[in-house]
Amino acid sequence: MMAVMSLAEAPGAGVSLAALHREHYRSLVRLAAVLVDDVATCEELVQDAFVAVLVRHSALSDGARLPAYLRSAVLNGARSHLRRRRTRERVRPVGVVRVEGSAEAGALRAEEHEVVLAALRALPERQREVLALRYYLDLSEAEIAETLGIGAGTVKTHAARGMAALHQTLGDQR
Amino acid sequence: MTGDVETRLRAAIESRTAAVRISDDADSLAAIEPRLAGANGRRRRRNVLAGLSIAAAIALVAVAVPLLGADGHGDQVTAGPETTTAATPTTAPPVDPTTLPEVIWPPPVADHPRFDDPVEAVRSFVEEYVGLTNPALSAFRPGPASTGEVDIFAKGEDGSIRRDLVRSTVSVLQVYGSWHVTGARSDDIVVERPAPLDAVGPTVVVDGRGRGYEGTIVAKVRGAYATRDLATEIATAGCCDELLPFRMELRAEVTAADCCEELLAFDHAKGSILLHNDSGTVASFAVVPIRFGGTETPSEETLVQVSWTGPEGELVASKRTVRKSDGVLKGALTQLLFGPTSDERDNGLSSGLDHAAAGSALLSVVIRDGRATIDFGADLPRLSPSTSSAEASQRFLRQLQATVFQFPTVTEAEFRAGGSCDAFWSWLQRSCTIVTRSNAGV
Repeated sequence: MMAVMSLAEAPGAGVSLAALHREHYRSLVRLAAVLVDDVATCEELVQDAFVAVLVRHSALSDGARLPAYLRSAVLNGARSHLRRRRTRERVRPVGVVRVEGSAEAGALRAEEHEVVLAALRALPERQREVLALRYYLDLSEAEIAETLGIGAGTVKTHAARGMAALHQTLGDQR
Repeated sequence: MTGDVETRLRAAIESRTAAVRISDDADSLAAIEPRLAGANGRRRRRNVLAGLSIAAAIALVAVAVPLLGADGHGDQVTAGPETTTAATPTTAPPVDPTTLPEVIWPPPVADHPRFDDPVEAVRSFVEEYVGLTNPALSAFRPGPASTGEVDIFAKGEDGSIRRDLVRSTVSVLQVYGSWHVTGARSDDIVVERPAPLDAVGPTVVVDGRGRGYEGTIVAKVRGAYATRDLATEIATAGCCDELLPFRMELRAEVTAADCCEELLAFDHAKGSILLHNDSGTVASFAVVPIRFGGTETPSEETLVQVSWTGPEGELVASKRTVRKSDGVLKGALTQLLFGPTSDERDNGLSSGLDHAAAGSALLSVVIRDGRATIDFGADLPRLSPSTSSAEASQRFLRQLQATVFQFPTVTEAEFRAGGSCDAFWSWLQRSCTIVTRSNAGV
């Protein structure tokens, strides 16, 4: 544990890896899990994000922006992972939740949740990311815009289009 | 109703995230810590090396200036090489990043710049490789493991930048401090085949879905780092909002005997495919890195039949070429889900599915002891509302059975949606059943 704490200064002024990890790691893994079905992969994506962001921003003193950078890196990682998986498994839809064998399979078997998650994951990348950030992290439009590097108006557009698509897909399925 | 969907979405996300079991903090920290320490160490070493290079350059200038002012006396000239010799090893990477198979740009030639700014690497790529003039680029978005992305925004007719409309996204990779382009994607052009780094044969088959002005999608096969086209083909896909399937076969002979200078000069095995919409100017584009010299040839493909419903409600079969290695039944069903071509649609053929979404909805196809178990995935039912009537279900089922039972090795079939036979058949308002060749009436 001492070794961990010794990294407190590594990322830069005022930023502690341990504190950053404690505060954000779990929520970032869960954010990734909204988009990616395999939790081990989600953890790897978040660990990659920590390394990439903290190395890149080691000279920054603005630790307040690191959470947004981390969220952004996690979403980029999830996007790349899904694209690679889609390439490997050309006919497997990104939007389908694979429940076999995973520890959380039991909880995911509820068909309603599976269908809704599948619909979310079938949306275009930006739309599903905007909705994940809004409905999991409850971020404001400005925070989502900062995370995704797009304008607040674009966030609004993606959110509206995503919800419209979900409404069309799910609206008459109950 | 939207509120209801919001509630369901929140509940699904809550259920999903609550079910996630995360490893101990100490474990995940232990996974991050050494990687971070290693990355920081490499970064420090790079900085030290860069500092040494700068110091060496300053020293060189400090030596050179007096020399230039000394009217070239021979005894002073000898000081120059000693200084430069000390600086040289610090800047040479052990491996040329451009030799990495996924790197498409920049070309590994001495007179082409390398980029320490990812956005400038993308700008060079978009202007020189793709051919766009003065592209509107986003800021760099970092990804994991020294990767990242840069978006290319659309422009209005007056030249204004449309930051709300991303045309394409270019992927970059940082190796030894410089940035390299590894591919590009677009929501307007989805390439299903070839996959990145696939080995292609002399005939490059490009499958995907797309949309563009007048439905035009252009594909260009290129050599490594090259801006010259080895082969070009044009296909018609969606003209409007809907992504529609396209397929092109490009003859790109690439052999040691007759291949282009670019390939021989740099890397005979590497290449790329550029796809863009709009026949005049490039609007959206996708770029896939490929390798030449694959064994795949048209002879390894075969023709299958895919059945549709004709304008009079009759069953009509079209021929499609599928790769044997992918499985012929799977290939035929994938084509069924992609739907009829635009020409076939113009002739009144239909499958009753929403092909823009259903093109990817096939989870697995397994044939064992004559039984084909075909799982379409849980979301197929929601993609195809038109099967909600008994007549539409019957039509789709007839197409499906005709497509499946064309193969003599298949004697019976179990259809599933999301792994469930019940889910598939309830979508068609019927109960789960195993279809045999005889009761299918094929």
